[in-house]
Amino acid sequence: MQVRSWLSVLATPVQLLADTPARLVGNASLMVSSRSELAQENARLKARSLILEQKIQKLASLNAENVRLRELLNSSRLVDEKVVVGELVGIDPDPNVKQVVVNKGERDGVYIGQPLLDASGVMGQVVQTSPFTSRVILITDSSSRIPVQVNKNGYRAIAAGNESGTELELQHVPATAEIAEGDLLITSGMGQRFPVGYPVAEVTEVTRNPGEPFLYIRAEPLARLNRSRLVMLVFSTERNGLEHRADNNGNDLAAQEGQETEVKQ
Amino acid sequence: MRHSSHAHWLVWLTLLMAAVLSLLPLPAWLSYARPSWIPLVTIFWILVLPQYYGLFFAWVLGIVMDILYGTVFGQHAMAMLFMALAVNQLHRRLRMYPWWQQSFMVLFITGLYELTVIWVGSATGRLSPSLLYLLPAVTSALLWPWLAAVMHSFRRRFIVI
Repeated sequence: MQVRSWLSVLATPVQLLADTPARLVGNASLMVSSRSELAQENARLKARSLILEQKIQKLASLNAENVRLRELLNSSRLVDEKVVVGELVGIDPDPNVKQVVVNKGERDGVYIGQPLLDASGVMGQVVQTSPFTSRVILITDSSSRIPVQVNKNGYRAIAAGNESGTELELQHVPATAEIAEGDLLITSGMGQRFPVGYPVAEVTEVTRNPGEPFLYIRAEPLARLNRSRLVMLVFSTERNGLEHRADNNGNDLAAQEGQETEVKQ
Repeated sequence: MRHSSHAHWLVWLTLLMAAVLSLLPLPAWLSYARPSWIPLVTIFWILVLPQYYGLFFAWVLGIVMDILYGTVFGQHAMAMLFMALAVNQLHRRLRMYPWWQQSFMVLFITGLYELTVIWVGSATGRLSPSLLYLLPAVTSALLWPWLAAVMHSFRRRFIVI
């Protein structure tokens, strides 16, 4: 593994070179976009940022409340996540393999199994690292599995990528399960890879076949897997909440920790 | 032996370009038909300069491809080795062939390459087997006459012997 990681340094310039045309096109379209367009976009982004900030204000107090309630229940605390923003620099040339290359590597603390998100949901997890880049398997790859739960009732299942490469399938869900079209699937945190509570997909089809023991459930990933260029690598600051429960001598400390969501670029 | 050779940087430059072309993001439907650029360029150089470029060259390139594509070490190396072996055995005849017969042979040789890649790939659970994997061999064969013409002209221009 170490050999591959160092040899990958040689491959990095080639990958960056292959990415240049796309980058150039992006830059060129930025250069020729008119001033009024940019001003419009700026205004739109400002409005959006305002809305998001308002939501965050609410979130901080909710988060603190959640931490306190969880302590009252004596259950483990929710882990906190730190986020590093990265950029896609390559995609796997094989159309059957849904893997991408991100421009953050071991130097930035990326580790194997680390979850990758975009602005709207979970994208995948890191499978290979090298000093400057890392390779990520997307959730739609046919060999990818992600533990999810239905947001409305907490029903747990495993979402697998299928041959189409664009959607997910829920595996081994019995016909009695309460699940319907339009349900939101979020990460369940089972398997200890993906942190709990991030949106993954929306159920698009539930087919009940009387001859089969399981439901056939398809779901559409929420992350824009083919379009996102800016991605986020999640670092869990606290890997096991149970240990920290032992030293519960200050609610405020816990509440403060619950609030901070560090973003480092 | 080495004193007569010059401008061999062209070999590495063409290979770099081939590597970039093989990694260039393409729409999904188009990437099924993406020609195998690195094998094509390797075939060309083994064909015209068999005294310098042979099995070891192909094997090293295969290892580099394994790193580029993030596959199991040896997947592309083995495929490139088989391919180079075929070209090495056939190069005297291949050089005599007219262009259409050459591209027919290229179809077989890149087909052999793709077959080895899919063989190791499906053993390591990376690829879903379908006949589409042979499409790159077809496009490679169609591309071969043009690629060979361009590369020959480069070779004459920079005197790579």
